[in-house]
Amino acid sequence: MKEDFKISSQLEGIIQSLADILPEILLASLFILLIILDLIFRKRSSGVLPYITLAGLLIVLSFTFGQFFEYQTPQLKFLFSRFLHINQYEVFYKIIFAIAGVFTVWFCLLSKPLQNEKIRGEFYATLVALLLGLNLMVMSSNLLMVYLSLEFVSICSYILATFSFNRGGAEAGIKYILFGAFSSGIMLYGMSLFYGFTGDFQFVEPSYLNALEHIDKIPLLLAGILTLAGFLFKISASPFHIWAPDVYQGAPTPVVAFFSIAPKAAGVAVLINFTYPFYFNHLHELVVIDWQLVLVVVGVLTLTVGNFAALAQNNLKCLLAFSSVGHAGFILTGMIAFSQLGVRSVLFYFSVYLFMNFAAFALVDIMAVLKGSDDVRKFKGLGSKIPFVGVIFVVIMVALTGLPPTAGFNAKLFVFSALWEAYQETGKQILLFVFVFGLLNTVIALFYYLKAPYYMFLKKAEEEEKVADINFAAKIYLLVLTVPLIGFFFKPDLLVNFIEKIILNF
Amino acid sequence: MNFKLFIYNSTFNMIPLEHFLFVAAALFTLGVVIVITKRNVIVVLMGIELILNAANINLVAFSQYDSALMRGNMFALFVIVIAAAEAAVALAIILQVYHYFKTANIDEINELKG
Repeated sequence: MKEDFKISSQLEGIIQSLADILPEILLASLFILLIILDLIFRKRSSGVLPYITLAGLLIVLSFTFGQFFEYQTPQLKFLFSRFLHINQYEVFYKIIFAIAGVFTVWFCLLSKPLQNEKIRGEFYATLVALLLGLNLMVMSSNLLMVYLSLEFVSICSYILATFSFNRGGAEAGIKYILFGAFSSGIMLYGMSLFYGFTGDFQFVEPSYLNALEHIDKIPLLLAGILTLAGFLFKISASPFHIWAPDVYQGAPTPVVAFFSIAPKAAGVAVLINFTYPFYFNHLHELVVIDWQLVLVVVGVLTLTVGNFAALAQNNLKCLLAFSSVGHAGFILTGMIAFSQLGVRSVLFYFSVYLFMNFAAFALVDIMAVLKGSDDVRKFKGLGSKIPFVGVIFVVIMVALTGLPPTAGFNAKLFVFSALWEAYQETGKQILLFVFVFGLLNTVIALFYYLKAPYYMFLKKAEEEEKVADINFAAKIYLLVLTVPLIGFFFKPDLLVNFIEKIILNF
Repeated sequence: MNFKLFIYNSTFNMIPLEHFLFVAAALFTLGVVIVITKRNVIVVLMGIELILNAANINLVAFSQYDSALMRGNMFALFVIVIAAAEAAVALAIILQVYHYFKTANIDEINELKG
C-alpha cells in the first residue's frame, strides 16, 4: 500500500496506461484541433470542419476496432491507479459511440435546417468532447470517475441541445440542464452515502461488496436508489424521462438522434458495471441489494409511460421521444435478466437501435423540410408521391415496432429470450410478469409506429401539390442505415458471432 | 503522523459524525424542496447547489474515517469545480431563455408540448 503512493511508481503507472487510451487521446487531440482551426480560419473553415471531424472520427473508430481484438482476457485491465479499466466488452460500447459520432456528423452535413442556422465550429468540437466523455464513462471503475465523466457528458449535451438557436432550443436547454443537474445532485448524495458505508470508491472490486455486507438493508437500498437517479436520467428511464420529449423536440435533429443512442448506451453500461457485481460476486451468495427488483419496477414503469404516452402524440419528433423511452424499457428488460445472455442481448439491441434511430430521425428531418412540420397528419398521400421515402419509412417503423423482416425483431427476440431463460433458471414469478408485460407493450407500440405510414399511404392528400424528391446524398444515407436492418434479420449471425465472442468478466 | 491523528481524533471527539450527517440531510431535503416548489430558474439552480453541498459535507465528514484519509476531500473538490462549470453553462442558457421569453419563470417557458 505504501509503495503505491510513491511518485515515481505513480508516474510509471500513468505512462504505462497511456497506450491503452489511444482512442481517447485521439479524441482529445481532435477536440483541440477543431477549436484551433475554428479560431484561426473563422470564416473560411466552416465548410471544412465537418469533414475534418468525420475523418478524425473514422480514425478513432479504426483504432477502437483495433482495441477490440487486443483485450481478449476475462480480467479487467486497470489503468491510471485503478480509476479506469478496460476490457473487450467496454470496447464494444466505444465502437457504438464512434459509429454514432460518424453518423451524426454525416447527418449534420445533410440536414438542411441545420445548414441554414449557420452552424459553427464549436458544435463539432463539443460533439467530439461528448464522445470523449462517453468513452471515459464506460471505462470508469471509480465513483469519482463515474461522476466526472457523467457530468462531462451532461454539460456537453446541454450545450448541444441549445444549438438550434431559437425559442425551442433555449427551452429545451433550460429544461435539460435543470433536470440533469438535479438528478446528478441526487446521484452524488447517494454516492456520498456509499462512500460512508464502504470507505472506498472502487465499486468494481470485491472488497467494496464485502464492506457493504454489514450495512442495514434500508439505508443501503435508499443510497442505491439515490445513486441510480443519475444513471436513469441518462437512459431516460421513468421517472427520470420528463426531459426527453421537450429536449427531443427543441434540439437540432442530428443531435437528438445522437442523444437517443450514445448517452443511453453509456448509461446502461455504467448501470451494468455498477449493479452486476452484486450478482456475480463468487465470494458470497448473499445479494446485498436486490437490484433486480428495483430495476423491474423501473423497467415496467418505463415501458408503460413510454408506450402509452406515445399513443397520444401526433408530432413525429415527440412520438420518437416517447418511443425512445419505451426502448429504454425494453433494454432494461434485457438487463434485468442479470445473466451473460442478458448483457449480450443488450449489446445486440443497441447495435440495431443505432441504425433504426438514426434513420428515423433522418426521416423526421426530411419531412420537416418537405412539409415544414413534424405533424404526421400533414403527411397525407406523400407515400405515392415520394415512394422511396415512403418505403424506407415503413421499413424503419416496422423495425422500431420489432416485427420481421427487420433486425428490430431479432433484437426484441434476444431480449425476451434472455429474460425467459432467466425465468427458467431462477423461477422468479416477477420475471414472467415482465416478460408478458413487455410483449403486450410491443403490441401497443404497433399502433403509434404505424400512424405515420398510415397517413402516408392510406389517406389521400386534400390538395394536389408538387413535392420535390429528396436529393441523392440523403438517399444514400438512408440506404446505408436501412440495408443493415434488413441484412441483420436474414443474417443475424454476422453480428451475433461478433457479440458472442466478447469475453464478459461477470 | 501521530500528531496528525491526534488532531483528527480530538476534533471528532468534540463533534460526532452524526451531526455532520444531520446537517447534510437537512441541506439535501431543503434543496429538493426548493427545486420542486420554486418557479424561478435561478432559485432552482440555488436549490441544486444546496444538494451538491449536502453531498460535499457527507464526503468530507466520511473522509476522516478513510484509511487513505484524502479521497473524500478530493471528491468534494471535484464536485465544487463541476458545480461551477455547470452553473456557468446554466446561466448562459438562462440568458438565452431570457432573450427569447423575457421571463425566468419555469412555468411560463412552456411552449414545447411533450
